[in-house]
Amino acid sequence: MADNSTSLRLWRQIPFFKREEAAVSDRIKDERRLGWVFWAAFSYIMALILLTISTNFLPYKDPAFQDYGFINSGLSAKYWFGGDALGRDIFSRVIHGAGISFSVAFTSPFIGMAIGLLMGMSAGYFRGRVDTVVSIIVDSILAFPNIVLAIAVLFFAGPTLPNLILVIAFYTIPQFTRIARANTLLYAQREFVMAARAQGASHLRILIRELLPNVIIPLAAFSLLVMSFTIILEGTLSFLGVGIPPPTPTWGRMISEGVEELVENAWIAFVPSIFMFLTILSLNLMGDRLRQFTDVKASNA
Amino acid sequence: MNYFKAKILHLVPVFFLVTFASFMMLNLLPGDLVDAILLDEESSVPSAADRAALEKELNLDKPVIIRYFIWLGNMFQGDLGRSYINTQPVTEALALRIPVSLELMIMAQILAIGIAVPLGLISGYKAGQPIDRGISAGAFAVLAVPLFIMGTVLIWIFAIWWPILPSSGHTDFAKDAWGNIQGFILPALTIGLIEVPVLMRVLRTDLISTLQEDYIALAKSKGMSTRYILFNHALRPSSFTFITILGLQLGNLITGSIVVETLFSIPGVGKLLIDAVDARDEILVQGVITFVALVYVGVNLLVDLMYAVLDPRVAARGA
Repeated sequence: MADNSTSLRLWRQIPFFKREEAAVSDRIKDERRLGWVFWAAFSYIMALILLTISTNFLPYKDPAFQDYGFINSGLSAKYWFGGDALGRDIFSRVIHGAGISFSVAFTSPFIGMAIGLLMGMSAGYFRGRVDTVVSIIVDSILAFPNIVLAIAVLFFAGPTLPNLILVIAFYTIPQFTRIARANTLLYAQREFVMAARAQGASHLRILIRELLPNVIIPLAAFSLLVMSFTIILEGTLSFLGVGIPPPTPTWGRMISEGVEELVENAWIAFVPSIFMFLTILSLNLMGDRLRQFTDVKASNA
Repeated sequence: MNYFKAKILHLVPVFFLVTFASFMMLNLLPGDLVDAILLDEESSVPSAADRAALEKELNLDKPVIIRYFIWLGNMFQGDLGRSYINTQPVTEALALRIPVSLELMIMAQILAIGIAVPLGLISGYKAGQPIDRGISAGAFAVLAVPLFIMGTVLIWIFAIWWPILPSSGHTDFAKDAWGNIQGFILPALTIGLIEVPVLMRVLRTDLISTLQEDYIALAKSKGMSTRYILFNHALRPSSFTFITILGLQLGNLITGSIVVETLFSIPGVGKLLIDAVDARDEILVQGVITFVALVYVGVNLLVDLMYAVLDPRVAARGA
């Protein structure tokens, strides 16, 4: 990997190590390490989560409070990221907005994962007719372009947080189902499953005790990428004005309000944009690294 | 031939599912349907005559399943109801907006291909070298940029910081062709750039494996120029996955046009939907959603069938 090339070079300078051995041991070490990029991304996400939790007990300014002296004000000691067009504290709004993004990102993927596991594992284990039924369900979910269904549900059933979480969770089901199915197919052929079957284990026992612990690992790694997908979808819906309604601050709405002020006060849109970009980037980086880490194909090849 | 029949037959349940879901959406409205539609319109208590007229129009005296088939029959005759805000028929509103969205999507796709192909070629040809690493890192970063942030940044760069393009609005092509195209550049670029990373990556991966083929070595040994080899020998065999992904991007294209039309105030189908949502125009929302979902299903089918024609192995496997 790129980030370890210096340590690779150092390794090779040690005389009693044969070149090939050093390279191999280095590659193994490399695969077992997550790398500093991963930990940087992890720290950013953890910091943001802690800030979000701290809104419950630290005295942040009310995100809806309008301080008319600070309309479109720049960065200051009182308002760290300045005030927006209505004089509201951008810092406080960004932190509160992260709360909405995270409350979707930490619920929807797990609802989708639970359903995806159930459907994908049954399809991969029983195959045949079960597989056909599952593929029809997945095809039906994919029949609606995601944003259109989300707009429809939020419009007709009301823009509440539970509705938002459920409609986004619905769209994470197909991917989880596919990965669960593919991994179940792979593991169902392995010796330990055959051994369990030879000992007379029931289907349910094989699925839960033998297959689930193996199948859930790649799914958990993938769930980080799904989290970034849910944050993008939530942001898009808020940006379009069909997400959680005001006064609750959301990143998407903050950016859409900031666009109105883009000519004079661009930072109003850019502050939430940067936070959102870094959040998605961090989740992608972590997810990508963990996926390489847990990829069955790569580690068994 | 069996593959084609199976694909088209598969469409039947999906069609009923999509239309039924779109139809039932109105019933998700909290409270009484007639009140929900009439109350937002004039925010006064609707008269008994208005209520009766709407009840008759929506056939509320009949059971749901009958209403669904009446609605479906009307749909086939091009009648998706009419807006309760300005009484314009939904299909008429759609007909005005479709060409705009279509132009936007086509331009976005052209820009996406125009940017992704050269980047993918350079990156695949120089795989592992600094330029490839730079391009790949850039692509990874762009993957983390939501559409509306990309659009905001592009507006700021090209309309405010260096004002060479309009940030919003739409001019009629017949009146001012250049103005029309100019207005579409930034929105189309927004959607296009979002698609580039995925497209570029698949092209890069396929190109790397193509470049290891014997006929590439032969072409090199014959002394052909790198550019000639890349464009005339390597590009075509490397582009099959690329074309597949291009077809799969349709959903993103729809999402993209809704966001971008809202951001740049372009009067397309996406803007129509969002405006209808803002105005709480239930029948119009339902009509536009039905239309978009049906187009999506239809075009996905076309894409599937096209692959089978282009690559007979797909049909052989699927049958």
